[in-house]
Amino acid sequence: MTTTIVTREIALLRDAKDETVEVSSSLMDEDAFRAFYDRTSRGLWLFLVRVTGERQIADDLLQEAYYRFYRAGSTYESEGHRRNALFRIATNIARDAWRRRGGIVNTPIDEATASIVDHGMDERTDLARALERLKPKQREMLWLAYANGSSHEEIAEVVGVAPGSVKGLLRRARTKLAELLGNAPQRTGKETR
Amino acid sequence: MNAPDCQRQDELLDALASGQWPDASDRELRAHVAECTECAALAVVATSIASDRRDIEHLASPPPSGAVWWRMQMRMDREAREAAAKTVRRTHSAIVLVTLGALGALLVITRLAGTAWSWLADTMPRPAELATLQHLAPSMTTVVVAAASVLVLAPIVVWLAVAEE
Ligand SMILES: [Zn+2]
Repeated sequence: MTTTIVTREIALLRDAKDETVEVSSSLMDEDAFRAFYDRTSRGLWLFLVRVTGERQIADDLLQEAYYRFYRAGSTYESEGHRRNALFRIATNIARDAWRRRGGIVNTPIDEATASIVDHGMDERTDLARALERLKPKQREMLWLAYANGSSHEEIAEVVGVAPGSVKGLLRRARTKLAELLGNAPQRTGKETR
Repeated sequence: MNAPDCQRQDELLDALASGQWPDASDRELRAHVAECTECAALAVVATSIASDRRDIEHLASPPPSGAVWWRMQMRMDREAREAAAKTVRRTHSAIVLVTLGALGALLVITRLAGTAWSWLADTMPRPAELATLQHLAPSMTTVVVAAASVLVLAPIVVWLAVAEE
């Protein structure tokens, strides 16, 4: 069931893309692409798992993200910019997928997920469940900041917000997540807000 | 308006990044975090996310780069073929429409010319040379054969042009 939904989503994403994306004439060669993929795919997969809340969707979106990144064929000043561009593409397609699912992060546990749980590989931790209750942008920003160690400028580039607004957005997301984790500290006179 | 962040957050972030937080960090910083809502939220969120990442790191199993590369190339080829076929279909449709339009116009012109010719033949004295020219007027068969040839050959020509690109 989930597989069908995911496959359909990916097909829809592909159809949407076909109308808009031009194939670039300056595509990466195989060696360069594979080296870049090897450096970034694990980090991107983890990001997508936590942002989409589902492993299978992350698997599919990962390949879609690399395909669009490759087809765009843009040139970048640095490895950091190239990586940010990839994460930005992944962020956009994850948001599209999220919207298509009517704003639901996680589908009910299906057989595939159940088998992962049976094998002691449940990636749906307390944190994952708490993240699911945040807005997509909040999930993205928190993961980039504290799992990837991205700077505010990098977060702004990936998430598509003004660099000056990252600090405030992160603070609100942190407060919300801390509450959801049940670790919200008692409010005291020391609070700076 | 955003309130400024607590001034000790950078210090806390350094302690988090260096792995000193909480046990090896400054006692005074720990005391501050215990009292400060913002720093406490930062500490709990940053440590939860970082440890979650460590915990699920071993689950990350993206497909091998060679397989991804191969699938991308296949997809590029398929999409290029689909785009070419779409161009051929569109061009063919345009040619069919134009040819049918031209054929219709030709039929009308032929019919009018025939009527005019008959009228002239009936009303004017006919010189002998004119009768010999009559067989040069386009027959209906010629017109139909020409139109059919265009309809059959056009898609082939378009296909060859696109394939060459
Ligand atoms: Zn503080």
